[in-house]
Amino acid sequence: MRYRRISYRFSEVMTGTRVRLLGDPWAVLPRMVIARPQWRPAADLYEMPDAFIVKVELPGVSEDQIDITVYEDALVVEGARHCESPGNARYHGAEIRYGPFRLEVALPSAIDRDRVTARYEGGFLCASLPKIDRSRL
Amino acid sequence: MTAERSDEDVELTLPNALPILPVRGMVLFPMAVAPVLVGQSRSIQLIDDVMKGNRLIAVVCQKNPQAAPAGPDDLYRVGTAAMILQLRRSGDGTIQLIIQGLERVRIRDFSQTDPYLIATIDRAKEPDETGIEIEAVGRSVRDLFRRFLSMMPDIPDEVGRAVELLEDVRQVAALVASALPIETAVKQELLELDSVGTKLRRLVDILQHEIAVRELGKKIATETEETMTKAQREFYLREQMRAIQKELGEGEDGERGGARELREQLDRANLPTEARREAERELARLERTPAASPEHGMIRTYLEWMVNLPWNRVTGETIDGDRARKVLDEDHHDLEKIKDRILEYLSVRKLRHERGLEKPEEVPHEPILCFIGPPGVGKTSLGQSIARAMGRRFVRISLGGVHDEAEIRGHRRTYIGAMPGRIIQALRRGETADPVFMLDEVDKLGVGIHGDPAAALLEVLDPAQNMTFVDTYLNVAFDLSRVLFICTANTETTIPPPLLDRMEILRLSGYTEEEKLQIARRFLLARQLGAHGLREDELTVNDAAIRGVIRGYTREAGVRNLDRALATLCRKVAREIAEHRRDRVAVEADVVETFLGPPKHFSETAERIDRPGVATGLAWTPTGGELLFIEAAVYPGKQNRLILTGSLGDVMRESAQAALSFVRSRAESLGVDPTAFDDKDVHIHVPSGAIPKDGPSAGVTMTTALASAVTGRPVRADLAMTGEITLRGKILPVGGIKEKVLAAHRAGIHTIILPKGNVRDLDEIPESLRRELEFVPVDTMAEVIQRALEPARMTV
Repeated sequence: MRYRRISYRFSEVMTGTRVRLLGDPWAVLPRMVIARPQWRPAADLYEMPDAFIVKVELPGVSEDQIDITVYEDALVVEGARHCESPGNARYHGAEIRYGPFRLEVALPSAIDRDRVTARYEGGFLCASLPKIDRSRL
Repeated sequence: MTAERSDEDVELTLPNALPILPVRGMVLFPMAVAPVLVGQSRSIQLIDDVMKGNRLIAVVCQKNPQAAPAGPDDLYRVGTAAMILQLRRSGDGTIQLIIQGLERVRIRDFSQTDPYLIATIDRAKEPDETGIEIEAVGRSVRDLFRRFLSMMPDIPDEVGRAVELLEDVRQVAALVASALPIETAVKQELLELDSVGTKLRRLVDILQHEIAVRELGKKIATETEETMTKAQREFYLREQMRAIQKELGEGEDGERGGARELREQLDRANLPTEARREAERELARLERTPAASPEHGMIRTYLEWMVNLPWNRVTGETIDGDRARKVLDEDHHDLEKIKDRILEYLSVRKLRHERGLEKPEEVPHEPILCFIGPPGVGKTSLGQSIARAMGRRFVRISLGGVHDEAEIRGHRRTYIGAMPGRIIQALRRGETADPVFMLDEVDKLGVGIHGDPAAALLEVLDPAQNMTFVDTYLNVAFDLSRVLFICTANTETTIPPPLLDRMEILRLSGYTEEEKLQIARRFLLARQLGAHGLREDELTVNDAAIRGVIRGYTREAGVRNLDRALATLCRKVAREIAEHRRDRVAVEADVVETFLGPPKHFSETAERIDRPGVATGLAWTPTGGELLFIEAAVYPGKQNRLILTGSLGDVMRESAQAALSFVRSRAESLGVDPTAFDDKDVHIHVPSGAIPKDGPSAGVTMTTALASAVTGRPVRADLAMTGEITLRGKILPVGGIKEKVLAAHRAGIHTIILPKGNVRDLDEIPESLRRELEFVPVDTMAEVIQRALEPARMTV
């Protein structure tokens, strides 16, 4: 896992980038969806007394393929998932997204960027983002 | 945030060669996510192979949709690299894919064509362009697209929102291009355009065209819908109405029956050709017009007028001179001159009729008779008698206060509530085409802003024109030449001259006491007895009593008030008899007062002249003659003024000036001191002050009053005078002698001074009256003075 720490604030450059496939995608024609080529993994964001935790569902991605960029108020996770299937396989259905992914998580308050840690375990990436202890400032 | 931009653009790694998936009817744009249905076996194999690897393909549109399988030549050279996001294999072996466009690619050449196409590609990503122009054209694409979406209900709203949120104009172009329902070739053309600016401009063109087409289409649709719904509504309502009419028993049959009935009436009405044609035309229109339309009612009313008019219905009998004379005598006392004129008139008509000379163009204009006289002298009843004498119907309209041409000639049919004029209305009432038609009060015609009714009357009364009188309502000619028109008026002065020109004036100037007595005895009393349910023997009134009523209770030229007084008498008697107080009543002169109360009028002349400076003149009014007392006073004053009071008109004022000048210039010969007027003011007053007076005929009277005032000799009280004077003292004749004489007689005058030139008028005065009065014809003022003034009183 690679870390990058950026000292300016993140702002969403592009909204509506998620590929939303609600209901039956074949139902309405013509469908007009514009999306970035990257897919977006599912993620949880929760708050602990001293830190925010971002938990990302990222199975099948090797740890060294994950880039984490930490902004003052956001966390961006990028990387790619490669598909490896046996040469004689024949697909009957495919929903898992491969290729480059990107996740942007806006944070409710500022964090201490220097003490950010992350673990990759059991297909989940867990990033711990400690809050700034204002009494120490 | 700019730092982020850069790494968004990169990062895609594409191999040099990609399997080519040919598609029909769609163009995949970069960034666009689209469903694709794969059915061809070689394409299925392609997908199967790709799914095991990087899942990347190049989607290229077929130039020629019919080609299956499509070879390299059937494809465009520009396509889009895409990633397979989802795959679902259905039971029949086909594959549903959701693919995402990644980047534009250009096919260099095909390295494999079997089992599926593989080609080496060049990446051809559109360059990112910025600048004011791009921004502007991007904005107009957004605006137009939003307008376009508002016309397309089947495109979800979120697409519009997505376009708003996209910042990259390349994405805007891609989304709009894939969303537009345009031909594949156009979409391919958009894909192949390199510059974003050009793409956007092309999109503006396409959007504008699509919007225009849709707006027009929508307008056409709305219009069609409107006409459709209106027609349907009318049809529905008509059906309902028909049902209601059927229930009420007035359905189509009733409607047609109405028209049929009118047609039968038309056949019976014996219309002249022109009128018949017009009526037929309207009848045809009536049959076409639905009964509920307001037009229907208008046409119906018109046709009813047409059928009810007496086009050719005449009642005129052969005129029998003796019978006519009898009828006239029965109805009217005396009026010899008038009766003679009427009989002459009837005889002429009879002769003409007998000798077949009734074509109006061969006859000189036949005058319209006009009766002029005070109220109550019997003008209207004379008309009725004429009708009776001729055996015709009598109709009468009053023109008093009519001030609109349309009242004579009718309103045009376009107006709601339009009616024919009074002439046609009266004819319908009379039900014949040849009634005696009385036009009452022609002197009281008004002139309003809506034309001059007198002018319309001209056409009616002119025998040369009235055979084709066109009422504006009927709009066809009606023959009025068979109608006998008679006008009545109180005075000719206010009758419009052109109208007067066409009339022959017959004057009824009022009755003497003796005549009134005869009329009361022969006509009025009998009529009132009948009206009050009394028998002839129950009320008898002797001549003295009637004279008493005439003198004490009436002062009029006609007999209207006398009739009213007699009615009062009858009423009182009727009550006595009804209450069984008496069986019969004989009224003598001395009991008149008990029935009618104290007398209202007295013979007042004797009392009025008891001093010098007052003279009695005679005046003519539309309601008969009147006595005029002229007062003159001479008193010291510095300015030698002449004061004239009593609402005198210009002619009368000048007449007074002449009188004064005459008296002054002839002072000596009148026995007046020539210095009598030095330093004196003269005042002449004519009561009653509120009634306007005019005319020259008081000249003699004013001169006499002046002479009386300066000489101090009073004028004889039982003497009245009339006449115009000149400065030389000549006396000129005046009009209205008969009325004046009657008035003088009524007032108890015994001597009347009148101009010599008027002596011939005395023939009109009844013999009995001539015996009672002394007439003094004079030529000069000197004779008047000599006759009128009392000898000088001895003054102390």
